[in-house]
Amino acid sequence: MSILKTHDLKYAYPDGTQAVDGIDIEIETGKCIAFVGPNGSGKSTLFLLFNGTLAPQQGVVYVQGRPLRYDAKSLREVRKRIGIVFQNSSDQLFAPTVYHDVAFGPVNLGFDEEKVNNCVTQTLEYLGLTELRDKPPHHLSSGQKKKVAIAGVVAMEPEVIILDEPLSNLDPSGASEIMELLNELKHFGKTIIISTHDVDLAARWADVVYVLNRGQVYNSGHPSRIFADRALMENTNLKLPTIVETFREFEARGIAEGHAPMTLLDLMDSMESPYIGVRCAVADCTISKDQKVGLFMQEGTIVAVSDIQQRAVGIAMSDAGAGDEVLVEYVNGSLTPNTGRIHVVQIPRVIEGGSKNVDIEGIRALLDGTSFDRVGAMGTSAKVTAKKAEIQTDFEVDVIQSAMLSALRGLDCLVLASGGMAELVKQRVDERNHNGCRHIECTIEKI
Amino acid sequence: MDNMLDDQALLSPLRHTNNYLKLIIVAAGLLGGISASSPVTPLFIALCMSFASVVFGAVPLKFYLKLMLVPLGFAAVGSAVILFFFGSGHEIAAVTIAGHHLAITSQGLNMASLVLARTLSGMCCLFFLALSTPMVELFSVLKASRVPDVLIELSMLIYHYIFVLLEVAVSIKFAQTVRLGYKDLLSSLRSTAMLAGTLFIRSWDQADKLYLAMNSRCYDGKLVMFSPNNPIKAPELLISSLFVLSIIALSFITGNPPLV
Amino acid sequence: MHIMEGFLPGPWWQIWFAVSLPVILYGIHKLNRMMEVKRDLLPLLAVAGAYIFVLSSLKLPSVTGSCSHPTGTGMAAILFGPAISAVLSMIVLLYQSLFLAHGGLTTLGANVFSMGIAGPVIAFVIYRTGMKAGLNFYFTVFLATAMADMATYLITSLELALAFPAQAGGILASFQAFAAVFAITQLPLAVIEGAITALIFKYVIQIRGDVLVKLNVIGEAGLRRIKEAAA
Repeated sequence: MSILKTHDLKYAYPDGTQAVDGIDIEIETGKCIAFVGPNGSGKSTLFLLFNGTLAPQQGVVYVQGRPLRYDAKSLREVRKRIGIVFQNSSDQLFAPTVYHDVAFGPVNLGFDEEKVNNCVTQTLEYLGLTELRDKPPHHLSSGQKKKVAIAGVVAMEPEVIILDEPLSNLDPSGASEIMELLNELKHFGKTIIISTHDVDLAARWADVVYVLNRGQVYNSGHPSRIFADRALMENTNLKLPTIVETFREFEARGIAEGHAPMTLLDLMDSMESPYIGVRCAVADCTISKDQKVGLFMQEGTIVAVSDIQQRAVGIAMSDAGAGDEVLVEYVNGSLTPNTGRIHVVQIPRVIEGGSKNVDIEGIRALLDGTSFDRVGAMGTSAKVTAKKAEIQTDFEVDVIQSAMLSALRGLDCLVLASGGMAELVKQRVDERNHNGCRHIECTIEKI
Repeated sequence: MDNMLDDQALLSPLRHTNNYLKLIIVAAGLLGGISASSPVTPLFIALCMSFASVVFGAVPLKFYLKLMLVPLGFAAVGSAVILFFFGSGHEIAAVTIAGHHLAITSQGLNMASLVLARTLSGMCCLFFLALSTPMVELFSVLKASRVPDVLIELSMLIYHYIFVLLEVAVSIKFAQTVRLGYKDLLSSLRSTAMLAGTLFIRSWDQADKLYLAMNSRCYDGKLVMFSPNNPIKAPELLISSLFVLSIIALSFITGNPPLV
Repeated sequence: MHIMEGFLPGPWWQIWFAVSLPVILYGIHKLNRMMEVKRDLLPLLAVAGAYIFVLSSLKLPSVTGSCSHPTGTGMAAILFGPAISAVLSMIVLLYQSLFLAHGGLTTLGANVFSMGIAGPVIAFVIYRTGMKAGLNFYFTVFLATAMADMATYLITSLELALAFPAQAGGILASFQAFAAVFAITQLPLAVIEGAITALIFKYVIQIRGDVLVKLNVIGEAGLRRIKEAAA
């Protein structure tokens, strides 16, 4: 069911610039959409057309199947449903304190004092902003401002959240936090639309990509289809995602094959081929040139030993002492390591009480009892729980992919996940297993 | 583009003290000081307020004294006029400037010192309020005082945009300074005008963006918010009551009932 | 020129509040009516108020070596008219006293009268008269702003004189004395602020003249004439 649709949309600014020149799009509920295009391609204008700020000279905008009307009441309805987070947070925040700013939307929606207070408190907690409640916006860092801007929109509980260049002006950790947040929001059924000129981001995050150029849709579809098309990229002045460029190089050297990957995990999968002739290993003992050595994977590194019984076999290409790196010509056998397993522990969500309802001792005991090589935390309450239990996490961003990559290297992973995200982890792993990739075992436990 | 006292207030240890209590103390101080007919009460008030700001409010003493300088400068000039022109009675001293005979009478001296004392106490009360209570706390007080909504909304928005524009002004000024925009009087005037002009245009664009941002979140003419007030602690109440009572007592002793 | 907190005794500080209050109330009433018609007036005035505050916190280089600050009231009056300027000035004065320790709370009434009402009225009258009479735009702006500052300074001196009349010569002598003493800073300030404001308008006309038309400061035809004259 399409939540947002446009038909032959055209809009020109008063100074004559034709910003949007005949755009047809259809956006499905609950998907992650990325609009990609160079500056001036019409992305921001399109968003202002979506929420009725600008009225098109031609064409119609449909919200949930009904054409958008421009009287005050209809516009209010649209803006309740479709929230926009602007590129520059300073343009979005205008109230004296964080609390006031986030409360602005709910107050305008007519909630009474108690409901507003609950709504704002919950939203702040959900975004990890409770400590900043009484601070004025000019005392915040740009990452914090961006989160407050998002909070202000989320507090209105829109169905669609549009973010114009959400990661501009953010440092890498700020950027990862925002992307995590967007993934969580998608998990709750929101439709997320972003505009970006970062093709790597669009490639690994979006379900559907629209490529805009000069006010028109150049192409649209799944990222793997869009970003694998070299001609499309050349024609629109965009560069290929780094992952795809890397893949193409590997492909040319016969190291990888198959569909162009969009994520790191896909890239690794495309390289599971036995065609790599020479490997780099770490010698376990003194080895001489042309000696036959046994090879096995240990913690993500290939180790060469003198014992070739029941192991993959290779021929050392030079002398090496213990601990030295040695090039080995691979002969035969299976180098693929034993796959690690992923164990997911479900932590109650913030709204369900969060880390306060968790048996911290139990979690610590779990970690002490069984040996896990890596620990990941996904979601606000999980991260807080990990902190309280004094567990050092290895990854908090892109947790599912990181866990799977580690498992493929033979490492056992523990993932603390908030609420429904625990199921999501298992779901993704099962999907992969089902697709015929190397099987990863995944278990869930509810605490 | 000085150091704004509001930033200090946001970090003050007194920030979360009950707003009404602070306002009552300040009001008592202001009214008690301004209606005094002897310098004793105002000086007492000035001392108490300064003590409160520096000790309870953790304001650095040097900073506090520096703050005093500008208003005292004005007060000094004003008092000088009063000294020479006000009052009757026998002359204590006299001076002749440009053919004018200017005499200092005892009345004039009394009035000048009274005015100086009153200004001192007034400024100390103002400082106490400004350094202990950030503006964001006062908005809910204004709402409770039935100040017209449009005024409060305007004040809240103006408050925020002051900081937005200040940031722009500071960066423009810096950009100008490093290109020698302020090297002499004439270029300073030109640069200042350019700064103000650019700031004006940015303000206009900012107003557009503000309108867009407000509309995108269904702006309905309502901006005002309610916030909970903090409880009054017993020691605070005790000290404050003592203070107010002292003012009243002193006023009576020195011969003038307060609130004239 | 701000009267500092505590300087003005009773009953004068109350009297000036009483004088200023009706004007402020009228300004608020007018504001409410205008906002019903023009919904985007509130954001505009909010940013304008912030602008005036920031303008008044700039340090102006002065001939006497001391620094002074522009009042911004002349510009406000030309842009928005005296009624709205009164309301904006009141908020700006409040913030100036709380954020910059310029002025005071008991003296708010007196300061609003001199800086928020008298000054802007003079500026507005001079500006409109000058434009109708066909005087040069920049000269009119200069005159209006400078006279507004002069009016503010003189009215402030009057407020002080009324509260502290001289023994010999009464209010008049006192007024002369106060005016003379403050003239050292206020006269140069009036001239400098007048000049700077004219320059500000020059930049604005060059870059975004349409803004002034939208605000009804000048008409379309007027804008063209000014630009042609400059070219």
